[in-house]
Order: sequence, then structure tokens, then C-alpha cells
Amino acid sequence: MSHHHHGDEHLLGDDAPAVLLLGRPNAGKSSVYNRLTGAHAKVGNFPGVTVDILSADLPLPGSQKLARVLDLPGVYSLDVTLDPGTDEGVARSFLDRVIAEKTRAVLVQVLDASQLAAGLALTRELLARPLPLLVVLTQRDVVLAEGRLLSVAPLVKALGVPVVAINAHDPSTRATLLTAIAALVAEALPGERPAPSWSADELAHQAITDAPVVTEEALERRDRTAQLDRVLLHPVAGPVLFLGLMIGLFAAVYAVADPVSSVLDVGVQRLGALAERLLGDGLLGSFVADGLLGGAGTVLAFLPQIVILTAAMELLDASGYLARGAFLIDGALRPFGLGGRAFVPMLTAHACAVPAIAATRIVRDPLERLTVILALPLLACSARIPTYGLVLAAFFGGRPVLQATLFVALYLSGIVASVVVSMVLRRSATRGRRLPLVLEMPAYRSPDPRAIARACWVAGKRFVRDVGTVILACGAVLWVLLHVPSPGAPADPHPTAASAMERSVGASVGRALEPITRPLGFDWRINVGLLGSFGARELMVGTLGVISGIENADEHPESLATRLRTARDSEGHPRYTTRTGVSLLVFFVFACQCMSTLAAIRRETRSWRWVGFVVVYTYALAWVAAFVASRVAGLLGLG
Amino acid sequence: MTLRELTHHQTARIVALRVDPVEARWLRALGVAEGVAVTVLRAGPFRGPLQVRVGERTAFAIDRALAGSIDVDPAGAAE
Repeated sequence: MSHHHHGDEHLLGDDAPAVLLLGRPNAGKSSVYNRLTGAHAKVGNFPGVTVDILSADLPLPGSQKLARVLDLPGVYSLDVTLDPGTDEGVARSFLDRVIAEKTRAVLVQVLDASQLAAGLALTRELLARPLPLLVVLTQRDVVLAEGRLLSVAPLVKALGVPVVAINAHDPSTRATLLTAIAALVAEALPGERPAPSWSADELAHQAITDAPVVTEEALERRDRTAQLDRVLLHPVAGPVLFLGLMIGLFAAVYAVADPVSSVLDVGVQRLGALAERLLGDGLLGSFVADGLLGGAGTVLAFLPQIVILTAAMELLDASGYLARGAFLIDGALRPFGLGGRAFVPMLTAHACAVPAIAATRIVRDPLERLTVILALPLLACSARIPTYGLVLAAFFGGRPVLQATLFVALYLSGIVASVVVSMVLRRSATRGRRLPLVLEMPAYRSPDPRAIARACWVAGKRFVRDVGTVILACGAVLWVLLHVPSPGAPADPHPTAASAMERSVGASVGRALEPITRPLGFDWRINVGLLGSFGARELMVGTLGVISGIENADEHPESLATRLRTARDSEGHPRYTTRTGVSLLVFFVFACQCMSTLAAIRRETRSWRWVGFVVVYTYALAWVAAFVASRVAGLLGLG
Repeated sequence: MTLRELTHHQTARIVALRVDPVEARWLRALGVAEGVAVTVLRAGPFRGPLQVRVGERTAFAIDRALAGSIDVDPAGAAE
């Protein structure tokens, strides 16, 4: 992940005064942002940030001008940052830039009133910045429900800046905030403020006092998080509940996403058929149907998974449970150089690496997050299953026990490989300081559904914009490779799908690769299949089918399996042996045969360099492992 | 003694942060500072982190290695 922050120029730079929302994580910043801006939001492109920097232009009361509200990542401190790549580092460099460039800006600190003393430490840092400051106290309702009184007067007096207390659920909140911000924007720049003479603890005790009568219910409210922790963090029940929840989440991504994807797939196929009818079944029709619409279908098929996973992450995070989950699993992952937050993306990757890579945003440590992104493609995603199934049927048909054993072994090798690779990367490519784990375990809260809906919308949009375009482009290139005849290929007297593919640029590439793949037992046909499955692994079956002259191999894999098993070369020897099957399976475990994964890596690391890194290391690993497996299979007497 | 050795549910006061200066400043910004009262609530499974209440209202998961570098004084908690 790059540490150079080229902020999107649209975030700053023109006349609109900037309103920067700042606050500790879990202070309720995204709720305040949602209250203020309603449906408007632009997503800024910041490399390496795990939280999107959203911005929206708002008319202020009593002013002709628009103000630009920016939601910066949550920070504990602006004066101390452990690593410039963390969210904290990004927020700080953003603020430094605003001050250095003398951009017209005001600061709005969102402060959780139920954690007043902790938040006031950040207020102290913000007061040292030469910009107008407004303090917005959230969770007033929680403070009241716990039998305490909140008075802003001592705060206003001590801090010397405006303070407002709000209820996120109160409809008048937006007007209150807008009025306060308008007054702030009209303020002159403060000179140097006097050094604060207050102590955060004492000030918090003045502002928040016990109500004259504290009800039984209020006392119970105060104890609620501790009560819930007793169950959710129980040494036995806690991990069981956590695993159950994670399996449920995994099942949702796996099961709910699948039918939605099928429906989308049927739609795309219908459109494809329509395109071929309108444009003819020549190259143009095929390009639109297979090259473009196929790619668009792939993009759309990922959307439900992205949305489900985003909603789940936001729910877990906003409710306060995510930190508990990380607490429960952290010990088990430490020996592998990973922290508790890496668990969710690693589990999700067994359904699909693409949403999992997006989910790495919950890992706050930049180097750890990069490690997880780089190791994720090794986990056995659902798209590998049809290929595993075909190869197992083709080369190990009639031996169900061996097939089942191999299937389990393939799954486990993905897990072992990703863990080993993580450990190796942590000592090499992603070596560096590991941030100490100090993870706030916030009070349990009921999440704001509007903030979750916003997050899903933003994640979907971001995926289509950043990942979708790369998938479309790759799909078009692959189509050209497999359909356009190689220059200089002789004319085809009896053109068929198989002969067209044999004469394609892709076939030439496949033949050119034969010297590299021959030690693994792959001929050019398998190479073309591998090339075709780069668009998506499940295309391996279809591509091999076309080149073997079998239509609809997806629906009838057994005929393709028979064809592969009985294929002979010109001298009558079997073209493929059991050893070919073994090395092909092993190759598929390691190789990152998936342009969508690569596009997602590009999006989350903001760098083609890491994409190249993943391609090189996974293919090198795949080749070596397939070669070794093929030799071992030979030694074991497999033909 | 260190935070790591503190008996669960026993309150103590932080007396020193034996970590590098930047990390110490960062911890203080979080609220994990000298003089602050801390209570270990529980430990995570598989030798996982400690859940520590810091001050009156905040709880953190703190890994054991770091907890071993935070000196605490149980006697100081009564003040």
C-alpha cells in the first residue's frame, strides 16, 4: 500500500468552505454525516484507507454558498500516529494539508458524550489547530437513559468554542447542526488559543452528573455492556456464538449470492442471444454476447455478495460486536502473524476472494491488511469447485473414495498455503512494524440502518466503478485471444467452434507456453483452457469443452471427462494421464486464475505492482507445486 | 508488577509505559496513561488479548506482550 496520499482533487480545492468531521472511532461520526447530508455523497479516492472519505455539498442557512462536508476516518489522536498508512495517518495528513494550503475550513468534532473524558483528549489537540471548532456531543439519549444529566455550559466555558448536544434519532438534529455550522463558517479564523487549563476528567465530571433520582432501570442500563460481555465473551459460549455467527455469514454470502447470480446469469444469456440475433453470429455478435455482456454479467454477479458482506461488516462494527469477535479469535491467529480482524475476510474468501478483498478494510494495520490481501487468493473459493469436480471425474472416475479424499485435501491445501504464505510475507515482502493490539471495545449500540444502507450503496458503486471496469476490459481482451484468428493461420475449410479456437491467437499463446507447461503434463489445449479460465475459473470447463469439440460441457461434464480420458496423441498414447490430473488440480489450488480477484487487489492496494506480485508468486508456486505433485504421483505409480 | 500479571477484576493504577516513546505517546492519546486506573476484566481464548477497563468508561483489548510492558501498582488504586 502506497503511503503517498494523492487525495481526489474534487474533495478540496474550490470555493466551498470545507467542514471536516473528526472524532474517535465509534463516536457516531457516520450517523452525524448521514443526518447532515441525507442522500448526497461522493466517495473520495484515498489509497490504503479502510474507511471511505465521503463528501457532500450542502447549502447553509442564511448563506448563498455551499459548504463541503467531509467525513474523515476516525482518529484517537492527530498529534501521534504510529504509521502514516493507518486511517489516523491519512486523517492527519489531510488536515495538515488543509492548514498548509490555507483552505477555508472549519472543524467539527463528533464526541460520544458517554465517553466524554476520552473524547476531550482529542478536543485538546484540535484546539491547537488554527481553525474554528465546533464540538458535537452525540449519544445524549444514552447518557440520559443511564440516569445522568448532561450540561454543555461548563464545556463551552472551559473550551471557549461552541458545543451542541444532539440525539441521533431527533428529527430537529439536522437543523440544529446546520445552524451551528453556518455560524462557525461565518466565524473569523481564531488566533492562537491560550493553552488549555482544564483537565479532561474534571471537565467531564462537571458536564455529566448523576440525575437527582436514578431509577433502577437506569442503573441496569449502565451495566448493560458488561452484562452482554459476560455472555458474548464467555470462555465457552463466546467462541461458539462467534463461530456460529461467522458460519451464518459465510452461508449467506455463499447461498444467497448464488441464486441471485444465477438469475443475473440467465438475464445476461438472454441479452447475449438477443445481441447475436441482432448482430449476427459473426465476430461482432460473439464479441458483444460473450466478450462484453459476459464480462458485465461477471461484474453484476459479484454485487449481491459485496452488498451482503458490507451490510454484515457494518452491522457487526456499528453494534460493537466486531471488536469482540476480534478479541475472541486473536489468540488463535497470532502465531501466524495475523490479528483477530483478519478472520472475517479469510473465511469469506472460501466463498469468493472478491468480496473478501473488499472486507479486508476491517483490518486496520496497513501491513497486516496487505498480507491478508496477498494471501487470500490461495483459499479455495466456490469457483474452483466445478473445475475440481471435472478434473476429479476425468482422471479419478470410478474411485469415489479417492475423489472425496482429494477434494478435502484440495480445500485444506488452500488454508495451509495461505497461512504459510502469510507467515513468509510477514518476514519478507510485508515485513515491518506490527502495530500493538490496542482495540477499543465500545459499548454495545443499536446500529443506524441509514448508515448501513449508505455503506452498502457506496461499496456497490465503488466495486462497479473500480473493479467492474477492469473486469470488462480483461473480458474483452480474453475474448479477442480466444476468437480472433492468429495472423497467418491457414484458411479454415470447415469452420467449427473447435477449429476456430484452434486457430485463435490464444491457441498460439497456448502452443508457445508448451515448453513451460510440458513438465507438468499440460499440452496447448489445457493451456488454452487455463487462459480461458482466467476470466473466471468456472470457464475452464466450458473452454476445454469447446476445444475438445463438445458443446455445453458445463451441463454435461461427464462427456468431456470421457473425452479427456480417452484422448490419444498421434502415436496412440493417452494424451492425458492421472498425473496430468494431479498436477492440474494442484496448479488450480495455487494459481490466481481470476481477473476479478486481480482487479479487486488493484482497487484495494491502489497499485498494479501488488497485482503483478500476486500473479508472479501464485503462478510460480503453482508451477513448482504441480511439478512436485506430478513427480510424487509418478513415484506412487500413478500412470 | 505489570498489567499482564494483574489478577482479574483487581484494579490498579498505571505507573509506567515501558515501550518506545512514540508508542507511549500514542497509548496516552488513547487514554492508556500513567495515573489512570485499570482493571483486567477477562482474557481472550488461546492466550489471546486481555480485556482491560481503562479509566471509568472505556474498555480495550490489549495484547499480552504489550500488557507485559505496562507497569501497574495495585496499591495506588485506592487513592
